[in-house]
Amino acid sequence: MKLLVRAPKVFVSKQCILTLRRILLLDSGKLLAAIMDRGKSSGRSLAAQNNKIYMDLKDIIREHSLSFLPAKSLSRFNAVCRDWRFQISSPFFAHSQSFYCRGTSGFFLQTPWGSPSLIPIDPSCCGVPDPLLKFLPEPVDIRSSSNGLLCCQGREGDKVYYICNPVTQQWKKLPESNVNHGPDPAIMLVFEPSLLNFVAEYKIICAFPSTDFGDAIEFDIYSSKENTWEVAGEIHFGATGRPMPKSGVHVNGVAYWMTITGGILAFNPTKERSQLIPNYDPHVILGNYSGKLCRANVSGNSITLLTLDNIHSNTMEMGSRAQMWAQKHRVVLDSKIVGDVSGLYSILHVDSDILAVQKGGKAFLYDFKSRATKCLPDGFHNVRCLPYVNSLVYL
Amino acid sequence: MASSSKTEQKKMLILKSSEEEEFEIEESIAVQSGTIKNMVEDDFTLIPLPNVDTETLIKIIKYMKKHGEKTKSNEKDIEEFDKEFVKKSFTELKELVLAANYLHITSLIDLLCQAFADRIKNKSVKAIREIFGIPNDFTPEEEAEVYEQHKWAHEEGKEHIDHSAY
Repeated sequence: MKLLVRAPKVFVSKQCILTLRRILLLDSGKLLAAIMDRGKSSGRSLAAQNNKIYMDLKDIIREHSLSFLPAKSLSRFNAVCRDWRFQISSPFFAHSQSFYCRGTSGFFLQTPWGSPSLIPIDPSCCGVPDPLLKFLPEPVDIRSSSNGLLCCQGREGDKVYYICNPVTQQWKKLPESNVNHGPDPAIMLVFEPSLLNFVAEYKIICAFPSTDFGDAIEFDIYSSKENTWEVAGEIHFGATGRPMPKSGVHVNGVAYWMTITGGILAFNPTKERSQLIPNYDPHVILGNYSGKLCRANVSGNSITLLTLDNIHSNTMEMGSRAQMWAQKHRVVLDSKIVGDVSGLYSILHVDSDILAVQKGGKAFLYDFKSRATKCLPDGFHNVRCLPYVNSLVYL
Repeated sequence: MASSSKTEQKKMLILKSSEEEEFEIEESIAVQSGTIKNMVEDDFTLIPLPNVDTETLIKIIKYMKKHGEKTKSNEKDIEEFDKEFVKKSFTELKELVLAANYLHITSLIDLLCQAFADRIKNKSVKAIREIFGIPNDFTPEEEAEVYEQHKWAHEEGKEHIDHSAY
C-alpha cells in the first residue's frame, strides 16, 4: 500500500524499534505483565528508550511554534527544509495558523480612489505579495478587514463586493444584495476563526438607513454559509444618528458602531437584536480588547482606554449604569518619539496588544506589553486605516 | 482544593537529574508532567530523568511549583512569572523545550514555543537552520523553486530580516 501521508522524520534507535515490536506482538495479558515489569526493570534504560521516541528540537518547533507565526515569516520558512515546507503548505496547518496567529501585524491604508497599501509593523514578519490587490478583477476600495480577510468593493457599475485573503490571493465575488447600501456603507466583515470550523465562516453586516421607516436603522446580512444576503427582522428605532462607517468593530460575533450623536450601536446578527449603548463622546475609537468591547479617547496629553464590563454582549441585557466601563490603561506617549504629547492627535486603532495614533500625518504605535512607543512609516494622512492580521486562512 | 488537618503528609517524589542530583517535590505538583504521572501510576517514587540536566530540572521544578499553586486571584502573578521565565538565552530555551517535551508538560511546551515564535519570526532561513541545527535537505533545483515561489517573503524588507542566529 502506498504511503499517502508523509510522516515527520523521527529518529528512533534500533533498540527502541525492537522493544516496540516486542510490545505489539504480545497479547493483552502479556502486555499487562510487561507494563507491570517496568517497575522492576532499570528505570534508566526505559527512560533512555523513551527519549529516543520523542521528537527532536526542529520537530517540536515545527509542531508547536510555527502556528504562532505570521504569514510572511512562514512563507520565508518554506525554504528551511522539506519537513517545514510540507507542514507550512498544508491546509490543516493554514487552518491552525489562522486560529493561533491573531495579532494585528500591520494596517491596510485606503484613500478614496487611490490604490490600497500595506504598512506592516515589522516588515520582516508581516507582508503580502501584492499589497495593491491587483490580483482582483477590478480596482477596489477596502471596506472592512477581519482576522486576515478583506472585504472590498468595486468602484464601477454594480459595485460588487469581494472577499479576499491578500496573502494567498484567494478571492470570491459575492452575490448582489437587494438593498442599496449607499456610497459609503457602514459595512463590517465579521470573521472569527474557530478550531471546529475548517472552512472559514464569516458574515458581512451592513447597517443602513431604513427606507420604510424614518429615523430607523436596518441591517443587511451576508452569510458565507448560505451565500446570500438577507435583511434582518430587527429594526432599530430612535434618534441614534447614522452609524459611522469607519468606526465598526466586532467582539464575540456582535457588531458595534459609533454613531454621530455619540451612542454606540450594537447589533447581534445571530439573535437579530440591536441595542444602543449610552456614550456621550463621538470622538471615541472602538476596539476589541481580549474579547471585550473597549473605547479609547484622547484626554489632554494622555489616552484613556476603557473596557465594557457590565453589559454582556452575548446576552444583550440592559445592565446597570454604574460602573459600565472599567479603566484598563492610561497611556502617555513617549515625547522623545512623538514630540509634543499635548498636540492634536487622533487614535487610529486599539486592541489588547497595541494602540495606534496619528499626529500630523505620522503614525505612532504603543505596545501595551513592552510599553514602548514606535514611529511607523509615513502615509497616514487622510486615509482609512484598517487593521490587518497576516493570516493564511483558506477561503 | 480542600486540605485536611495540618498533620496530613503530602506525598513526595524524588526527581533525579542526569547528573544524579536529587530533588524532592510534592507529587500533586509533579504530576503536571504527563511522563512523571505515568511513572507514578506504575508506583515509582524515585523518578530518574537521565536526559534532563540539573540546571534545566531546577528551572522546570520552579515552573511546576508556580503553576501548581494556580488560583483565580494570582493569574496576573503567574502571567508575570511566565513573561520573566522565557527571558533566557536560546541555548537555555532549547534545553527547556526538549525537557518539557520529554516530560509532557503541555502548558510549558506552549509557553516556550510561543517564546521561540516571537524570537524567530524576523530571522532569515540561514539563521533558522543554525539555531535549530536543521540541515538543508533540498536539491539545488528544489531550493531554487521554493525561493522563487515565495520570492516576495525573502526580498521585500531584506534590510529588516535578521540574519543572526542569536
